[in-house]
Amino acid sequence: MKKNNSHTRQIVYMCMMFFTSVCMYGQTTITGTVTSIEDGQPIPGANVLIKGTTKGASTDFDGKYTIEASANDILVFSYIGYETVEKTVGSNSVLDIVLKSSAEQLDDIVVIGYGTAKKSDLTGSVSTVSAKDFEKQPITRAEDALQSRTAGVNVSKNSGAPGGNIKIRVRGSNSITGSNDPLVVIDGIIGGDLSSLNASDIQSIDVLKDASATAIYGSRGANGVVMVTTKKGKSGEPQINLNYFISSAKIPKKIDLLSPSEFASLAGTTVSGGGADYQDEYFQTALTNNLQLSASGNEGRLNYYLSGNLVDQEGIVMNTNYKRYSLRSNLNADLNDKLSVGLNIYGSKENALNLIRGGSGASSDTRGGVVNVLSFNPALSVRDSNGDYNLQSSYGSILVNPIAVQNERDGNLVEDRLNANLNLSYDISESLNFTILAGASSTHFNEEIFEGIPAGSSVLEGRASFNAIRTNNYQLSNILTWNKDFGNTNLKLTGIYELQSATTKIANIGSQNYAISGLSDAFYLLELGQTQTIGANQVKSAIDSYVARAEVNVANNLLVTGTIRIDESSRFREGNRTGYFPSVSAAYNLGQFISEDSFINNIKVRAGYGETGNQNIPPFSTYQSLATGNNYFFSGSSFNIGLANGALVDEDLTWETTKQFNAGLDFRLANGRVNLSVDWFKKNTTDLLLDLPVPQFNGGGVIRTNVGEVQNTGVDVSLSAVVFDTDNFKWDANLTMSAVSNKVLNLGGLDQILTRPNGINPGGTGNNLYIVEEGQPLGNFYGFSYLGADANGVAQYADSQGVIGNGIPDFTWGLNNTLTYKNFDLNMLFRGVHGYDVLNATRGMISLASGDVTVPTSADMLKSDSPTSGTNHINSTRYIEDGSFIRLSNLSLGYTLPEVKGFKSLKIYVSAQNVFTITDYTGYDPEVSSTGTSSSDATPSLDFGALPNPRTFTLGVNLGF
Amino acid sequence: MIRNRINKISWFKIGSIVLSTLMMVACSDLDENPGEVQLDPTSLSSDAALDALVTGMYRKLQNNAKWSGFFIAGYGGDDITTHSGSNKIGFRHSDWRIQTPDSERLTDAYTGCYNAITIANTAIDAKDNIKGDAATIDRLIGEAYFMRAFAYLHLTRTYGRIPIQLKSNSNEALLRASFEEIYVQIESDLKAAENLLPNVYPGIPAVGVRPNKGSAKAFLSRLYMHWAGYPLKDAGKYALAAAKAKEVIDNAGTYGFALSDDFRGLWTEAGRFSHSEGVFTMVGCAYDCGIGNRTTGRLGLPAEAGGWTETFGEIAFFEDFEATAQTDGTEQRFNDTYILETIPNGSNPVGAEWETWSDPHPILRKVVGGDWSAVNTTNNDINRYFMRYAEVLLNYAEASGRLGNETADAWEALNKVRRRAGATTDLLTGDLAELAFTERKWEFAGEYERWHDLVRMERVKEALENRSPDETVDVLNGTVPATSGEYFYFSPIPQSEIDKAPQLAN
Repeated sequence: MKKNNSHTRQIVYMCMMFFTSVCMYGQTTITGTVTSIEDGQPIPGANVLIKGTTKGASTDFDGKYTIEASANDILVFSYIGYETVEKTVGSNSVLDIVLKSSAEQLDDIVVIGYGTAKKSDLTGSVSTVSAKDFEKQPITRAEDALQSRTAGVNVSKNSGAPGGNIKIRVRGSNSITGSNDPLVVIDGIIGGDLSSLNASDIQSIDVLKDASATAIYGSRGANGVVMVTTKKGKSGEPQINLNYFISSAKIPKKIDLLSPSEFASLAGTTVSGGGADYQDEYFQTALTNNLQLSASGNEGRLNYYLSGNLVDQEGIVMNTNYKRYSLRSNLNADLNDKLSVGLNIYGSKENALNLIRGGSGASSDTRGGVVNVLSFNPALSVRDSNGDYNLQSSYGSILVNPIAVQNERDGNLVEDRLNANLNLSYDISESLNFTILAGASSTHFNEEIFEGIPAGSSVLEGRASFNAIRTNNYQLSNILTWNKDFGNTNLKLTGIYELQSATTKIANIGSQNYAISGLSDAFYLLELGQTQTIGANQVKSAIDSYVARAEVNVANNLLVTGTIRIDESSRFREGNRTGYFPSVSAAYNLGQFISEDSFINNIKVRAGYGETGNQNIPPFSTYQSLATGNNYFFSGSSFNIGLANGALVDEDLTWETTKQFNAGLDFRLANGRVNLSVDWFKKNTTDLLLDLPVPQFNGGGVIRTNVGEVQNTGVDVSLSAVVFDTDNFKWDANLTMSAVSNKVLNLGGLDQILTRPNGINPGGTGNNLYIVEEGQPLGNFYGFSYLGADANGVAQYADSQGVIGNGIPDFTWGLNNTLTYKNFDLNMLFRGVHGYDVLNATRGMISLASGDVTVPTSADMLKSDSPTSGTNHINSTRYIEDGSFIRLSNLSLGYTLPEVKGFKSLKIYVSAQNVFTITDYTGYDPEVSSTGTSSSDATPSLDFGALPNPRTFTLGVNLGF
Repeated sequence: MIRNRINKISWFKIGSIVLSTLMMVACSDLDENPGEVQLDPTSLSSDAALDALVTGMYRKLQNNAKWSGFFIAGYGGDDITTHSGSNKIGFRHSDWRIQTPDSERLTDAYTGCYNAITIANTAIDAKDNIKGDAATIDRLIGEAYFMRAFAYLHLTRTYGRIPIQLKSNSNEALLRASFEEIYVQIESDLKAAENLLPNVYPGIPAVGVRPNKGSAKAFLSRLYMHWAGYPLKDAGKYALAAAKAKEVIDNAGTYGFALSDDFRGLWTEAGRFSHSEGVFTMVGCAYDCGIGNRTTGRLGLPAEAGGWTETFGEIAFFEDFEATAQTDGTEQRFNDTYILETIPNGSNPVGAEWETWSDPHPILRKVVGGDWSAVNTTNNDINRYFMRYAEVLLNYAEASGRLGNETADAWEALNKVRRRAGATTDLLTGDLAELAFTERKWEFAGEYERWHDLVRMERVKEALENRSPDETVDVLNGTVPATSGEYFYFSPIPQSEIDKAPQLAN
């Protein structure tokens, strides 16, 4: 190659000498090589354009180009991911260009659904996080990458359990009882799963926030769309990377409880076996090992990215663990100039040990777990002098000893996934492209659970269950794109026909009352149980969709996008099945009116309106059934098959519709060193898919129907700045802020709905804890005003109940700083969540006798103003606390070793997560909640034994070969 | 021109590609087929399906009736008390008649009864569409009527005025009905059941596990006893109460009812099917099905015996019972009702020494169990009698007495119960009505029936005032028993239901 180069150069010089005098102003053949500054490798496919014309060329596989140009011409060299370079031809006939890679430029390509757009061309509201934004933080989960790095996207880790569910909300909560989870699209395949994804495989995450962006996903777009793009091989030499880190995690704090002797004297009992610190017994220092190996590159027409990842994460609760193994192969081949094909295959295996209800609980009995740890008799040792468990106590919690329950539990959740998607792209002509995206994914989920000492108020014999769930999803998208320039106007039309279907098959078996005692892990010996339960089910759904999009770009100044999606969903009956979801948006660049030397380089004004839907209800929701599983035993010794009424249904059920208006301004300041985006939105969700409670006299339960309206308004601000940029020192800062206000406008004739989270009943009263009321925001707590204790220590309350707080944050922000000094880099991620309350039911359960707690264990009992008797209303102002917090989420310090033999790169780093939290909240962690993640928006921020997010210290090394 | 040609070619290409793609994939089937995985309500068309639905009706009742909370009103009686604290507060609220809609333990009776009613409504609505053996269908529909009546009677005895729903698949906002409307409805259902049910219910391990014609008559007599008393006080109904009870007594052989010789054995797992005293009985299947009676066993024991201190005997009642038993010679029944010997559980306390315990109350044998097989369980196979044959006898005696119709048969009915209790001398004179009323007090002590007797005769206040000075004073919660109030006679409808149907507040 080198030889070739010099040969060419010689000829060029000779020609130059020959033509210099005679062809001064004529066309000259310019040649050269375009290389990358990072590795000195040639860049194939780079664009070379004569400025102000459409005349251009591109580099070949060796990075070489040839172009006819005159001496006055300016050549523009550009390539995705690199900074554009301009050179005047002058007297040169050879122009070798070195391009500098630019993170900024790379980010400029945004995935918008069935295509990409330049960030500068966006008309809607899209937040982007790319690998460089989160690679300084050791993460095992994709959700961690999103947290606090995107304005308008609130990511709350509701549980500190490894593998637990994480709550993501894009611009507030639309649905009262339906799911508010955003749609996840991974490499174009709808309905992906973030938790099983290998975070290191992620190239970028784009979150579509406003309706003009999400309407392209129609009936599934209302809660926002999280678009994940996985990595592809980069040009140049093959890269092999090995990343490893080890972390140690601990609970961030301990709750102050009575000592064994203090408790014993309060309860009128004695300390037995020295008592125990049940927090110390239950929580552990948990180690995580994360090993990531990847190879990527580009060989001729083939581009590849291969990776393998192992996460082995202990939980901070004893006898809990999460493991994930994953493999990815992303291959792309340009078969010829017109046809390219890509195949992404991802396989993962997750194995969670004793993860309960997605981490929102720590025990199969909602009263158990952390609450029971804190309320169990501290004057009683875990085991007696014979080494047998002290299973129960009449003082403190009357539930079974939580250490025994947790120790004797073997609950395995095994999830195997295989996703494959094929991308076929054919350029029919210069302006016309046809792409087929075909995806198939299958998930096998097994729950194999043995409870040696089941949780509960009675000591029961061991029981086991085995559930198998298999899901298959298919998607076929046919995408036709027509892209054409008309003078300075570009028109892009996209048409899509898409089919999607999902089938889930379920079998479950439970067994108890084992004929032979002393079995462990008896989920493989279910047949020995004398009491068995069985069940099987199938859940199917399908959607057919037609989508059209038009994008117009007039002289890079005026940008207009219009979309329409028509969805036909099997979840609704004929006549209610077809939904139309239109959107239109426009943007205008004011840069042309701003003088070039101004501090402000450009201002872009954006506005858009769109309608999106929510169809996220279980299949068969419009069909009534007779419920099985209601067997009875007239003989007193065996079951007769029994049926019961199913829930009432609304046969006319249809889409929930969200109409959103968005207006935004993008500022480009100080030569692009500072970028500011401000978006204001207002979205109204109508025909809510609402589960209305049915009075018991009509059968109880709920009826799912379309009533009501919820409004969310808010502002998203995103500010990024290169604070310092010198040779040795660089400081990048990125600030995101979101404010949302939520209001229920209409409940379909009802004044209010009182509710409590499914299955959660702190104190055992069955009382409602939340109220949904017209004119009020979602997430209002409902309960008693606590008036203090009277002279006899009796707790006093106001007579009537009312709103006592709100559990949805008003304002969230994140500040991500990356400082680089020579070979050192420092990352600090601060985040703040403000303006919300937490019902600290955990504290409620240990602060006065109620429910299953006979004698309270909180150290607060020693305070003179603590009540000693009276009713303990958990839903009272006594236990409502301000949850607002500011947290140093990540602190990492890395050092890249210069020139180590045998390595292309070598970096070591230390890091800490949840370093500190500034909050008035008295519980473990204000971020967690016991109420699940998907549809808990009417019942948020309830700490009833929620597992705290741990404080973590990490040591890691990244090796490049 | 050239451009046009290119376009033509490319459009042809697009057309064929799109077309072939469409042909390849066609359309999804968007019509759901629920019949594939779930039972359509229209499948309720055979006697077998009806049988399964009626079976489910029992399960729905049992889901709640297995808990002490189902009998929450019964804690108001002077025979039963509970512990002041922990999760027993709801029982205490009823015990002392200081309930509010927010009190704990209020939902079991409400939920269990209406769930059974919902299924009964579905069964009754479907009756004309069901094909199969006519006798079987009659029996099952009769059972649905019986269950609906049983549930409404339990509801009105617990909560007073409650809404009546007779339609299936309805979501209307019902108001609370009047007592008159409620009683008329229960009467109508019980008469339908009386008409449809067989004399002997086939295929059950003991009479009463499922109702027969006699069960329906017996519940009519109970209904009329209430109708004649508070709140409607339609004294004419005593005649109907006596008549219906008499029909059962006269045909006791036909229906298979008889007093058991082994009173204590009624509350044992071993003896649960070896008698004929159950008029309507809920059985358990704790050991073979994992679902049993959770109102009995350990929860009747004090902490000293490893118990849950949930259901105890009241002191004054215990002392009066003991004195009466000595006078009447019914010590056998007294001893079968309370545990006085050593309890083989926990630290083995002696029952008679209850005064020395941390929560000093006598222990009810009917709760702990007639033998020790369930002493350490909270889920067992001791029967729960919704009605025993003894009540039919005493309904007859009391109703006859209230009517002034003190026949020899009526005295005999009273004496049958006394004799079984151990009495050796028959009563033949005196105030039959009051003697029978008092007899019920001892006979059904600890069975959650005493309270309803006190209500219908408006004697709650005097009964509750008869408190032993040794009875617990609730220092812990600073509360004292009520002597009047909105919820003195009837418990409030639970707040969680008022939340869903605010019209129930009135």
